Amino acid sequence: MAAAFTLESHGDYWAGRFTAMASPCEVLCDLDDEASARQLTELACAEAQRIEQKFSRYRDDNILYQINHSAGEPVAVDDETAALLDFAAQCYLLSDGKFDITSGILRRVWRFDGKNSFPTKEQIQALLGLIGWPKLTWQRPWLTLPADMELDFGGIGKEYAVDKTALILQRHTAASLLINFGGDLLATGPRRNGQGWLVGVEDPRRLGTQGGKRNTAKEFELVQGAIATSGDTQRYIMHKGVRYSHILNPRNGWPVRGAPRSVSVVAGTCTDAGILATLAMLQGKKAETFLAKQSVKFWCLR
Amino acid sequence: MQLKTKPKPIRKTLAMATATLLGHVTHIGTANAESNPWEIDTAVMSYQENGRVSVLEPVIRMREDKGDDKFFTLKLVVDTLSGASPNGAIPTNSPQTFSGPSGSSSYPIAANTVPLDPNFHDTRYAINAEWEQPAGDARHSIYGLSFSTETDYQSLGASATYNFDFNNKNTTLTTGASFSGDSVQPLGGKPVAFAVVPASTGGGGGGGEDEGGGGGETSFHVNKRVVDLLLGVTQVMGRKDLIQLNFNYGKESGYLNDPYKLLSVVDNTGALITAVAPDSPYIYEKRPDSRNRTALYSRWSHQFGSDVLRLSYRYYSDSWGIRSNTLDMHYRLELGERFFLEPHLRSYKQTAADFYHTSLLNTEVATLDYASADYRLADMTTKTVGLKFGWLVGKHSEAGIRVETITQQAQPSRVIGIQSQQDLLPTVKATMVQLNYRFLF
Amino acid sequence: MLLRSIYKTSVLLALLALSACSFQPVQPWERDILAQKKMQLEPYPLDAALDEHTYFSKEASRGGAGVGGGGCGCN
Repeated sequence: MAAAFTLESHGDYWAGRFTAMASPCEVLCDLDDEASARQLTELACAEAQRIEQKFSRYRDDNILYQINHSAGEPVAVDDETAALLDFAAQCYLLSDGKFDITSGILRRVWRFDGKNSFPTKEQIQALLGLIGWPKLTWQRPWLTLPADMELDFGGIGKEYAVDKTALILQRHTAASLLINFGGDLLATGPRRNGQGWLVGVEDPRRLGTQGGKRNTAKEFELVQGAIATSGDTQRYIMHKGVRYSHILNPRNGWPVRGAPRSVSVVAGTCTDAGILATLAMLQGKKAETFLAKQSVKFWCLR
Repeated sequence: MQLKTKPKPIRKTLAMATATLLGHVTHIGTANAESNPWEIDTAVMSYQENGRVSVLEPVIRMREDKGDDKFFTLKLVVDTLSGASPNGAIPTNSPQTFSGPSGSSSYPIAANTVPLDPNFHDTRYAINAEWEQPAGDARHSIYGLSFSTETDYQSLGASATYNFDFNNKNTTLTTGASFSGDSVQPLGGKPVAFAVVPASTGGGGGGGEDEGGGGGETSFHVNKRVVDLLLGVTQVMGRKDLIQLNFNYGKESGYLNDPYKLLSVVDNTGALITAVAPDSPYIYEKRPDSRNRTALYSRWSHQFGSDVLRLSYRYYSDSWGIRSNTLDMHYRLELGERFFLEPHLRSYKQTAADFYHTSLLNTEVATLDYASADYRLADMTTKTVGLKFGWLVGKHSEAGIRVETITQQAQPSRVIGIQSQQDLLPTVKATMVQLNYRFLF
Repeated sequence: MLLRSIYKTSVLLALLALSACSFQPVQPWERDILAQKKMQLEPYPLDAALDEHTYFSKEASRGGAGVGGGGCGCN
């Protein structure tokens, strides 16, 4: 599988870039040797595409398609999928049911394209019966998903891919790396100059202004650890003058009220950072309180 | 339906779940990503003037990263002062005696010696709290409260600073304001300006702070107000250059005298003269009750290789007629990864206040509105030479030692007759040693 | 005299820094050097505060670097 990527020298580091999971991805390698940078980028690109192909809900040749079209019949899943299902179950418990990988089905009625297509209460009510992690039966390796329900790993996939890629690349190099998949990123350690990677936490409110250039609201020196961001101002619905965010509460099917426009969290792994950011969004007004309790560095934009 | 549950800490449980997912990995990378929200900065400074005051000043500054770019800072200072300080009178060729505050100690001064009040001791406690938070898009604000107390002086202050970022954060505009309301309780009462200091009765005990004075009004409490406004621009000049330009306007009003400072009254031969026996030849000083000051301040940080040069310059002027220039330079010389040496040079020069008089002619006393013999208001230069040695002990801690010598030379406003035999304002030499330790946890 | 020439040089330097070097806008990802603690305008706030306090009590000038901090009976 030939992956399309570019490689560019930035003086004291190399940047490999490619597209995966519908996002621009990059791998910054703190080394001088072009061949090593090329190899690392190839590995990263391959891993990102592997995870995308395996868990994308836009394909009909993967495990997710099998599960979502099992019509209530048990499906035997592989170890990696099983680990993700275990993890999703934990997140469901930790979030008191607010993080639910069966809630993606709500997208059928909620279209967050900035337009004003607003669903009726009846439409939402009809879908609620098809949502709820406890409705499925999960006994490793057997998963039984009731007919018409759907699983979606979209809430974890990209962050998980960042972590997995980092683990793989670390087996091939001791150099400091920055892995950035569409703004969810991870740094593996101090650079040769003793510093971290300088990363920008983007301010979504600036999107589309200043000639379409993205402006960076916060700069942060990331030595080791991960940053993930939840939230996107491009995805919302205006209805009767009220702005509804794309963060949906799976328990009532409605957008969470009072949620920040975006939340960025720093944690030891990108998966942790991503879950904490998403859970913070689901807390609505209490996002900051929730994050303060977690003793992590974070930014909330309102 | 929304359950009203309180947000709870789930980070550890989540980290365990992630570890299982990723194959028993909780932190990816070569170091630990524990966040260290507290920065603790401590220092002890010892300041020693030759034969005059000595100061011991421990400081602790604690800064907590509250997340979301919010910071809380608390600073505690204890400032212990002891030793002798000039009382403003001139040295003469015969011994002099000065009285302490009403009925307490008096002290003799030998001939040809600058009169120093020997009982100068006090401890000052100060606390500062600061809250820093983003104020919307590309802005942040800092609010501060300060309080300090010593035997005869209390200060309560508040400040606010707003920073606005422009140009992709390459330019920052700073506006700031502060107010402090101070209360002075001169020991022995507030001296009447230009009143004759009572003649010494000799002897007497004394305790606590005996800073001279006496013969005061019954009012034991006077006020001083200080307002400061600041406008500044910080500009990133390039990858290795940062420059700042500030304009500061300040207004002080209320009781601005030093209640313990005297002036010597002399005749036209330069000898002390007593108007009416048994009065003394010393009078209390009198300063204007307001002072407007402006300062233009610029600083520049530049990196040479891994070394850093910091240069600052200030031009200061006030309504008392003082003009000054201050030039300050630090050069941080990196010695490998763990150590650095930082030489410090500071040069300061001021012109005298309009009402500064080393001594007063008896014929002038009735004609002057204001007069002070406080050498700090004289024509003066200060030279500082210092060296700091820094040691990056670990990833999260740093230690340092700093030694500086400070030399102050003031010029008399006038030397009358026999005063030329005296060194009216001898050079003051001081040594400062400071230990620093800073760590994160 | 020496002092005066030092002052003149410093003023000149400041003007030079302000005018001669044209601003080179620094992008967020080029801030690695500026982000270092030692490059801050006040890398050691305690040293600065102690110095400020010492000179406040020994000289007639004050202010310039910032606002706040509180008063002292020492001058």
